[in-house]
Amino acid sequence: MSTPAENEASIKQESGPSGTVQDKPKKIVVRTGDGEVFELKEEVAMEMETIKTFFMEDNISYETVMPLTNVDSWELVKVIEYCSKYVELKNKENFHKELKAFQDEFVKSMSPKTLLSLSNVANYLEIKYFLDFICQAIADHIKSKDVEYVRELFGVENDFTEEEYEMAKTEAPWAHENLDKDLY
Amino acid sequence: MMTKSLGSKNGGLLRLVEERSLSKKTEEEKKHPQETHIPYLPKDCISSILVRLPVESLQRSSFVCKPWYSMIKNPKFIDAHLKRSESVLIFLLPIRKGRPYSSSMASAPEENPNTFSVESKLLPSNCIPTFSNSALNSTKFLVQFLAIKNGKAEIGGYGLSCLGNIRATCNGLILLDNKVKKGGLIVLNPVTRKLIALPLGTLQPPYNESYGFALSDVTGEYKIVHLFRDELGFVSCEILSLRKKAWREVNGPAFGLFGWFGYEPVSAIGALHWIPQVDQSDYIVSVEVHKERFHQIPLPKSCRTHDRIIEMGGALGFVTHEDINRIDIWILKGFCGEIWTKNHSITVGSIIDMIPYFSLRIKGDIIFKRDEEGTLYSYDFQQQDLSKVEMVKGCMPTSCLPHVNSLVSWIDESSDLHD
Repeated sequence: MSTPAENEASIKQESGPSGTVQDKPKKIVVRTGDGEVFELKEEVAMEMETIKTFFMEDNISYETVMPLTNVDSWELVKVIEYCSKYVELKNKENFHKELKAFQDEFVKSMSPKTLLSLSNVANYLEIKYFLDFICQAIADHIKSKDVEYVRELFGVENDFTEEEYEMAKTEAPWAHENLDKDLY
Repeated sequence: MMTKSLGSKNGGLLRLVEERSLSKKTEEEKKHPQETHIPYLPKDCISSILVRLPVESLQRSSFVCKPWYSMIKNPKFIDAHLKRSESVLIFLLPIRKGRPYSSSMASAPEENPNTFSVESKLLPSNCIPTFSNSALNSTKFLVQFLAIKNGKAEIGGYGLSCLGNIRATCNGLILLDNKVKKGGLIVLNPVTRKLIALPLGTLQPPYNESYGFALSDVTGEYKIVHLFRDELGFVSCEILSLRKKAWREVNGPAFGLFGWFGYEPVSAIGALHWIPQVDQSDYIVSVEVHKERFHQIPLPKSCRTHDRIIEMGGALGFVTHEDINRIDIWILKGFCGEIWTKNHSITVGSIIDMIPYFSLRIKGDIIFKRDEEGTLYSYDFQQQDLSKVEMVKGCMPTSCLPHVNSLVSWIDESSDLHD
């Protein structure tokens, strides 16, 4: 177990005189909303526009711990998992095929509500390809679900009156067919 | 020990932190960490999710709550959704006495009591008895569409029936004969079922006219271009804007440019384009949608009976048979000062009888129709591969038009106030 202070110390150790070794990967340190500190490889961290802008715009030293108050540790773990894989596969020949396989596994391991949280995080961290992927996964999940299910999932209230609802329904009578029977 | 593990993938430090945070939760929570806490999603996020839904799901989603309803009805959203939607073919399936003509299997769609008749919306309800008498001889059609997914054709319907022919399509809107009013036309979105009857234009027997349907990029209004030939052989033009809803006479193409109206016009690069001769056209006739001016645009080579122009990724494509085993694709990117450039050649397989039909606007494939059988083939640019599209049994609808399922409406929403 290490404390944040130890983390920063170990970074200083790496980027000290031995920093003349060219291929030592640089690290960026962030702190999540629930107080956990993470070290990210520079190449992975730079996939996230929010982090990139924070460090690049004002030339902030990598020794600064960037606060990510809107991100929980479990969420960051998932984001790092995806982005690391993406960066790893990016220049490979079978990029699309391997990414697809990874994406399928990734989605399987998570509940719909988890996916929703991740979409929020992807939006906040500004990782375009990750956001696209998560949004598509959520869309695929809800496309054949009924209205009640979607409300429950997104935590929204039905604010239509009876009349308004019936009127809206006449606009698209066939929209309520061919739905999944499973709920939640 | 800490320092060494920093070098490893993901960092041993990271793993320790992960283990620590995970061990605080139960096994169940590990998989569904946020079950109890419903994340607040900003509008942008929700919009990014909804824009990826197929059109029927989108319609359903508009009932979730009022904010979602407004979001989905917003023209900017509808436009973003349209841009992501894949091309389909729209066609009419004849129904006789409650059963479709295509006598193939049980999968053949039937008209059921829930089928919405376009004509019923055009008539006041007390007119219906008289109407159905006169309509006894009219064939009724089910409006259907064909989508190509993973090399297979999937047929879908709208629960919609009509009596008239589809004349033209644009962005999800269709131009339909109005059988209730002789010679009249309707503009309809088969998904939303919103329709509008257009005022009567100049009446013509069908073989002497052609309709084009396009959107003006400049003014955002939908326009219908009606070309027709009179007894003297002059080709006249009238244009209707869906905003102003009136036909206006416009200077037509120069005399003698048009040989026949047999080829459907193609909408691309801000204009509608016709191949004016059945064979050996050395030029195309185009009309700019905004300026409403006609042009004669020379083709890089003579257009023969199996060659066509199609819209391709925003440009105008000329797909032509160079010889028995080669099809060349030329592209014209714009009107002013642009020239045709040869973009690609298809050299796979026997392609002499392949007629270019349309392109899939998202995937990019060109769909060909094989002349004799009417079967469809898809050419994938990446794989450089031409493969047959698996069709639904027995069903090869004859006159289909390229279409896209969308929530588009011609109505001007000047209410961009609600974002």
